[in-house]
Amino acid sequence: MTGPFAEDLQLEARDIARLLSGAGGESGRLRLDPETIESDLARIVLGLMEFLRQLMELQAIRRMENGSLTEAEEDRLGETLMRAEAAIGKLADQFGLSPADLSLDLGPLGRTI
Amino acid sequence: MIALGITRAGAEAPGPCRTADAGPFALLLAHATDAASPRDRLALQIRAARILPALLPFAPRRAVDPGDARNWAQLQESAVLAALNRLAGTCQMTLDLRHDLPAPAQPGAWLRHRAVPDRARAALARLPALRDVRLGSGGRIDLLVPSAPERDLAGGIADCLATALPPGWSGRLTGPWAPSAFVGLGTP
Repeated sequence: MTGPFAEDLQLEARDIARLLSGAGGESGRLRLDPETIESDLARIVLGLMEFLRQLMELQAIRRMENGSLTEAEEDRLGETLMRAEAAIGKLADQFGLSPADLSLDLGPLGRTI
Repeated sequence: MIALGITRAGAEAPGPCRTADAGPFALLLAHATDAASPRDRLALQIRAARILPALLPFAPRRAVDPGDARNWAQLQESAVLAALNRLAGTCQMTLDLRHDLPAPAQPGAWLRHRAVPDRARAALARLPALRDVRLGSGGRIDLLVPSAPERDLAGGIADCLATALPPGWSGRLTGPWAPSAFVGLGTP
């Protein structure tokens, strides 16, 4: 555990990388480049799909925590979300995109995930 | 010059940064040579956040033009001032939750496994020392804490996690960082 409130800054490479995570070039914003149009479009579409998947996952978790899901419903929702995550990851991989690339910077609206 | 964030008018920034008043608030600025990379900008923000009474840091990945920053802040002046008041005297700690084993393959167990970070967030939110707790992606939880905590904050967080996390999970606390996750206004 990195000591909080220590006198000296403790900037470890992996912590910095994590805080700076998210792709899309130096600006981090959405961009379409004629040379990389397929990958750029895939990033936008897959980023939005992953954003929606995460929203659905959070909603499923909230319902599960509230006790409003049966065991069968937990299994069905879990399987759907698990498969959706794998499918999005596989598609992203085909375009050379990492999970961090799917975090979209929408400027004044903030990041999607 | 590059704008690193917004602070209160009249505040003095630690070198090599400086501030430039822009109406009711001030821009935190640095020379482009000192803030060339995201890592440079992040380091400057962390240093400034420890000195300034309040700081709304911009996303360090972006080199923000001071003119854009001024326009952006002035367009939402009341929201910026409210955020400065809300984040005054605070900093951000970040908790990364990890699980040593692969996620369960059984769908119901997988969903319960994915619920662990949200459950930890809920448990941490009950700690009076924390001003705010936000769930990020990939098991990341951002904590808004006082810059000068009265008690052993890290110890309190560790005790909370010891009861909130199931076996096999662990947490790594880092910081203090500038409170990027709690600005909530987007970026210029």
